Amino acid sequence: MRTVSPRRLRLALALGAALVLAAPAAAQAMTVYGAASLSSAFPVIDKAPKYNFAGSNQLQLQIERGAPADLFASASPAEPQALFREGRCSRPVTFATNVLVLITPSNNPARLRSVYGLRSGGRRLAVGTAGVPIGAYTRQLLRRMQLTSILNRNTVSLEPNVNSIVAKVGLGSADAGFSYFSDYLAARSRLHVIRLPTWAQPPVRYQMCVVRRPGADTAGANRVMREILSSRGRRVLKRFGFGLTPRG
Amino acid sequence: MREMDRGQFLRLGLAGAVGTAGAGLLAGPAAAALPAPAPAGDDVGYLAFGAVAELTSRAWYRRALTVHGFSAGERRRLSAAASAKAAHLQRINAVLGPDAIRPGDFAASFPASALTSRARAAAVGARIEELLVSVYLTGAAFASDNATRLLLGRLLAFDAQHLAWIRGLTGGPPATGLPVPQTIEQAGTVLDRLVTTPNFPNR
Repeated sequence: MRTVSPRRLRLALALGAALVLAAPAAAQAMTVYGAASLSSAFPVIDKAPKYNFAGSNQLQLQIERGAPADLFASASPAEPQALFREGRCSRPVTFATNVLVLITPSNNPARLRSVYGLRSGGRRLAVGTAGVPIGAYTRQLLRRMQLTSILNRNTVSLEPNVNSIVAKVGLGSADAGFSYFSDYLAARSRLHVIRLPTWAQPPVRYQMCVVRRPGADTAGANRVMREILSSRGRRVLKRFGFGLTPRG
Repeated sequence: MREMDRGQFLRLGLAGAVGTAGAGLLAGPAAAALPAPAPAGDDVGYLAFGAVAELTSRAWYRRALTVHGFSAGERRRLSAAASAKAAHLQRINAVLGPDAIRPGDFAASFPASALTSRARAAAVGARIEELLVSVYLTGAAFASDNATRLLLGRLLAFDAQHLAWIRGLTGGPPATGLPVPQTIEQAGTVLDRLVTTPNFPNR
């Protein structure tokens, strides 16, 4: 019987261990950190990546703390631009737009016909926190419409992202809430929509960037970014209710 | 609509009088000499509405230049007004800061028939100027911050002058007084028919 020298045995064991440890890393999908409002559209554009959807401000914070994100897609330019300035991601690219709407449960129990109806107070209103893009956009719209007082006259629940707002209104836990048009579209069977004036709409711009960190899957992130910007990606975004900026 | 007491009514009248008397004084250097406005409370609403309406108005003056029927003198005035509107927008945006309205955020959308003749074009132009004047009148009366009120008064002065001129173009008497003051809610309904968000056609 052939004997194996201890040195060769150690070498074989080390090689085996290295292969075992390397395998999961190679198989690990690239990770996209995306704004909550993109949670319906992105997996349709590309189902391969691992997704983490949440409020854009929370995701920015996680990336700053070293979270394993490869691509970051935000509902506002503020977060990716901040990461870009810090050298944590590539120059952000705008890929979609949106508008704000007022949503109520489909049976509209508070009988709201217009956003101005909220001035009388006494309703339960779901609004994004000031730090999350939907919350910042909502406050900007209310300032323009001279309606900031509705945040004091109604019972306001502050939500960490737009999905929480839609869920709360859809379940009837709130009489109304401010969301993006695309989020209304995704849950329209449970919701009633009240359009908000065009002239008062804040400029909702979605931007994405490739995260710069040790071990990031930059090639994979660039591939997904190209898919989102492709004709097919744009068609999917449009189908889900997003607006598009001109190409280039 | 808000009810006015006697004091508010007199203040509104004074704002209108100051505005009309100061027409033509809204040159760049005069605007630069204003104390820095610090909008408070609902003041941002007057300015934001003004910015979108000024943007729409600038688009109208530019488009009106392509309409047949205006004399050379009228064209010069249309052109000068378009430049002045751009200056108004810049002035308001400087105050609005992060709430500033950028040209790409909105696009003017005029009815197809609105620019087919001098008279029709003038009617649309007059409607936009009326919106501006009616909201600036309310702002000049009700804005919380004094410097913001002064800015709104100066913008009112300039736009009241242009409203009178455009009314003359429509064939009516140019000096028919100032329009009724309007709230943002009232004026916004009309302005909404003239603006679109260019990157969001799905609505």
